[in-house]
Amino acid sequence: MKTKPKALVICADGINCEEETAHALNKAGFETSIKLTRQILNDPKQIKHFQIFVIPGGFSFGDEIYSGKVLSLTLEKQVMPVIMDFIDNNKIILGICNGFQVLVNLGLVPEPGLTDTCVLNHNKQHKFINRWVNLRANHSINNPLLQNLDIFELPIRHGEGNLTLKDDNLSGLINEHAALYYDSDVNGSFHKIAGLTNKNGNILGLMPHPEAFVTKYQHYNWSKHKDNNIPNPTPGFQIFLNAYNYVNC
Amino acid sequence: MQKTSTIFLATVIPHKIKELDSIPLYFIAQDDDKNFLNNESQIQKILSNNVSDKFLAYNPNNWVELLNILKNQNYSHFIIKKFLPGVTDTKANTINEVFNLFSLPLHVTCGSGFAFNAKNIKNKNNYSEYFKYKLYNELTEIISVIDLNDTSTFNSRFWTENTINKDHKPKINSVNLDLSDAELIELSNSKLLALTLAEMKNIQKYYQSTNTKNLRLKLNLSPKPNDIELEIIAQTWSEHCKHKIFNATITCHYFDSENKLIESKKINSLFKEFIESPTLELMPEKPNLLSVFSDNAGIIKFDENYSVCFKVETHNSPSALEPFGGAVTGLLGVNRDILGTGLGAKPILNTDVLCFSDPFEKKPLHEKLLPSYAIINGVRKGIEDAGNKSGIPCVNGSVFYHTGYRAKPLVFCGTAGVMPLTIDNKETHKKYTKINDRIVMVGGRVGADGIHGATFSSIALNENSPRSAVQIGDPLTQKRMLDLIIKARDLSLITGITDNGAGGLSSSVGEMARLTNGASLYADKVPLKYPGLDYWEIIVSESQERMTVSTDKFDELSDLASEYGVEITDIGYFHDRGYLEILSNDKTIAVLDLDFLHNGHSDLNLKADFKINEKSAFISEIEYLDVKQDNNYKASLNEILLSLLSHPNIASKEPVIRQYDHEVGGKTIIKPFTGPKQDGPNDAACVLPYLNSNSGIIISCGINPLMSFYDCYLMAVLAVDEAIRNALCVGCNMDEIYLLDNFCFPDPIESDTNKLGHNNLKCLVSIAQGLKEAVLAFKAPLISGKDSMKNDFITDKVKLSDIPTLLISAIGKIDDINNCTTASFKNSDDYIYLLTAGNPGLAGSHLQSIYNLKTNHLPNLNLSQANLLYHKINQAMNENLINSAHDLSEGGLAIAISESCIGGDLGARINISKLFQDDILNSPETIKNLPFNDNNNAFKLFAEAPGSILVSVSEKNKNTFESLFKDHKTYYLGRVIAERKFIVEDVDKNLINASLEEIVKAYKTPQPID
Repeated sequence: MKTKPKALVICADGINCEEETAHALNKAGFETSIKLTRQILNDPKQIKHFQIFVIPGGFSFGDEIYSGKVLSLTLEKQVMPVIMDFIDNNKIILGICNGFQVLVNLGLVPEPGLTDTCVLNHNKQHKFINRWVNLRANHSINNPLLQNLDIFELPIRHGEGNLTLKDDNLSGLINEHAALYYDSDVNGSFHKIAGLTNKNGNILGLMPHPEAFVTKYQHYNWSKHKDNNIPNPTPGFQIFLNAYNYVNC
Repeated sequence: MQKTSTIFLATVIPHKIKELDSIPLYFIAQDDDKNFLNNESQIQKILSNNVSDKFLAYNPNNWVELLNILKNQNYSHFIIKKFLPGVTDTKANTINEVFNLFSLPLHVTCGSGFAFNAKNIKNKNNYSEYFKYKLYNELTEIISVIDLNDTSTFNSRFWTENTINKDHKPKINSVNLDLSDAELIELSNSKLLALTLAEMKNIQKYYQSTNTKNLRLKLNLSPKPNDIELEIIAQTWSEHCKHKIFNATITCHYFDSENKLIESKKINSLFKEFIESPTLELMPEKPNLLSVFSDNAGIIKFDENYSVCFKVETHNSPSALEPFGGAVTGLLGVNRDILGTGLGAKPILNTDVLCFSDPFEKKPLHEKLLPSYAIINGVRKGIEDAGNKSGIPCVNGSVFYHTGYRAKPLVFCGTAGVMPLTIDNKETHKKYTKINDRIVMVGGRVGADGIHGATFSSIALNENSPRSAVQIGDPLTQKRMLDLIIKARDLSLITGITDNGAGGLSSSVGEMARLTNGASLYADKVPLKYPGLDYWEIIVSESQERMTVSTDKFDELSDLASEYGVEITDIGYFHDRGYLEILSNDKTIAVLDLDFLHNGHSDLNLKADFKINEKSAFISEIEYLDVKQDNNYKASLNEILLSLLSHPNIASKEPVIRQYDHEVGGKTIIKPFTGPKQDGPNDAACVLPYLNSNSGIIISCGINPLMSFYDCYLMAVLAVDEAIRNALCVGCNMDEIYLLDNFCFPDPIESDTNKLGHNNLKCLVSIAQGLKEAVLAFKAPLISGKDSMKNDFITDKVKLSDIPTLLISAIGKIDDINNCTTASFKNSDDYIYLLTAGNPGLAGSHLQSIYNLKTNHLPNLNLSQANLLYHKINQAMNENLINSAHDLSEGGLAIAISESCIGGDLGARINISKLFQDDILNSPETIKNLPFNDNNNAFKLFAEAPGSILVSVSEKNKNTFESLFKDHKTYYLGRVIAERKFIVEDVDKNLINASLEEIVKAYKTPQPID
């Protein structure tokens, strides 16, 4: 029997979506370990035993200073070289919601090595928003983790998802890394961007929650009394399947 | 950081500062003057994002430069805000953690700044007053307003001073109880003990007894009581902890119309007779009840592997004074209740039901009352902060506005949790604390915050309500603790657990000590936020985010805790010596006999005089009117429909709910809103207990406070009915539904300052009686509850009392989640029916509130019929016969249909000619005198009918459906239509023809809550 690819999900210190994220990974075929931030900081080398490293949603360190800021500071200080190796070995880094904010703070998206190009600021409404939104995957760039997806729905649950560039000259660069767009302007984000990926396509950060739509029951309007055309596999699950196929190729 | 020299100010600002937008201010203290300067780039990296914000740092000599920047952006004033000493500063705690990680010898405290231009502010004389509650709450924060054109208005000491009296050496004060009655009462009042004279005398007697003297002699303790002991007793005996009113003996006399005594009955305890006894009666047929009324929450077996538990708490008094902090600590507190249930359950969902005063009120009735808008927005924000940051979805709730909540807002916070039925062959719904187990405090540290919360919530608010009872809360610390405890539970490192809520360690250790019959606690080992606390403060402080656990594996627990970044401390041990002992430096400093501590309080004896055949109804000191109505104007049905839809109690709560994460965890499968546009309200939530489960937990609530003005007994019945109908509409199994009761009452004890106490007591008795009847009729046992009995505000000039309110929360089970039903219409051409076991009424309805109707025309509910009907509806759902189900509640039939249309993005055409004809014939005068242009039809459409459910059915199931319900009162009303219109017809005329756009617009009227 073929061994399953291994997934690592970081948790603790205010991260709170680790359970459903691990569930989605397992469902897609991974063998998932959930590790505490301190366990990873104390032994960063263990990361290389995995094929995908996921930073799930939540409020890491209470989102104090800026959202995702403190987790990115701690990872940067202690784990960055291992993460860079991980990326160079064509393994996947997935940052969801708070995890996306961490990837942006670390400068892993839009592209490792480019720091301080953009941030995820407060939504233009200055409010936390939990609702389902229509999204569009960008296939004019290399976007392997969003393949088989075109226009689809996922929930957003964030107060700071408003992608803001350091200056306008960066817009061309950012657009080349825009993996995912909102269908409408939900939070003021630059060019309605909902997710960023690197050139190689193995790093993806996105505000919406794919792990929250891996079964039809998680959709806001499922009902056995009505045909709602909920896709199968669900779009969220498709993203995890894509990750599985990517590392299993 | 004792020796601070220079304090730097760091900040990050956007290029253009917006007026009154918050700018973070960091006051950074250092050991050595050079530390800041040497590390400035490191500090910048930590505090700034280097993209959209600019980092600025100043020493105390050049801070004027910051003011110049603001001045150049055309501002005239700058406000600096900071926390008062001792208030939890979560941001500073996190930054200090980071400084530590980067080995920076610095220490930060946080504040915020706000720039404004005086020409935009009305009240120029007193900015502190003007910005109070808009920008700060004086109980936790302080501001300094700087005139940018006159820098002498700023005193740099403002940001350097942040001291608590740290030099205070902890003392033990002995207390003289050789006092007269009057002096005893004075002592209780002055120390905020909230004890009665009888109780003070019990204490006096306890210290005079030989047993007490011998015990104290043996432990080398002075025979005189001390402040530690008195405080422990006061917390343990508080109304909040002992529920003395619910356990009081109440003698009820019943008189006839000529004031002749007909009958006398004694109620030994409202709790035992009306809450516990129906559950005990139902127990034989409810095998899944695992633990009721004994633990922090009621526990039910969910399936072969898991149990679920549910608890709802109130946090009214703290929310009245510091709404944000009150709501945060309320929600985090009930999360801890769940964490402290059995061997520790994992919270999986929150609920919040809020009762607020008039949001449009011009000015509070008393200067000490916070403005209504400040309470509303603070509480909302607090629930968002606590729930979202804890990763627990807020799945169900309600907001109810009425001027009758002016004394205190009601903030009901609920949490349900899940745990495996057994771990290591131990049943998790029990506790296994044994002799010699260590007492371990887990989580946050102890400070002077939250002192006297238990006793404070046991009295009315007044001008001198203490600021120390108010806290902010720290969701991150609690989340870390929560993660640790669930892991420790799974590794069998915990033998028992309870939360530190009201009464602090005195309550948690005092309660757990009953499991072994004794405990010894080392006060000097308790970790403190800062020195300077007296021992009694350490013991009763309600500082948040702490649990008390018992363990026989302290070292393993300690190793695990350091991985989770949680502080744990061994603070003592359990024994069987029959007393609770407090030690410091190995010397006994306080001791109390456990039996006396838990049973020494006095039972209350109360008396209630009833008139036979007279309903108990709430009488308020002040008269409430929603609006002044023009008596000559006769509203049309269309107008009534739209005004009801836009009433704050009925209009969509979507803007609020969208700010609460209601699906984190991925288990919320019926969400607050549904339909193609995600805007149709659902009646209840369905949440999976664990991912992959095929069965779901249903959560709903019922509340009907307006009925308290007419018939308290009926009010309780209707609250139960509403909670059950809401659960049913989502598909809840009617044999697997369990209830929680939360009573919020004005003081029911009559006194010189509480002339209406006796009437309140009558209301309380009637509500308890109504509750029992409904619980037995629906066979839906109560499993947990809470009462809050002093929801008053009393000063010399004004007395305000909240409306007696009973919240019923329901937790139930749906065996197969595929059978979940929602409130929205599904398909055009479906048949619409009203199924009912009740009769509509006008009293207590929203039609009455809006149009100020003078009527006591009551609704009616046939409980036994309702129970049969609901079972039948559930059967029909499971047999795929019902496409949508929605209960009739606020606003009656027309509102229910409107909501089902919104959810389905479909229309409806109904004919009401045959509806409620008997009801109209039975009350012709009442209905004739209504002030509308079509009174009969206004009654049919907008009166509020208990026991009524609106359903839609496919054409193919029509006949099966009709024959299934042939023995029930069933009205066929019409069809769902594709055209987005709501059309109501009579025999020969069109009554309402409203477009869905109009309906949606009214329903989405902006809420008076941000």
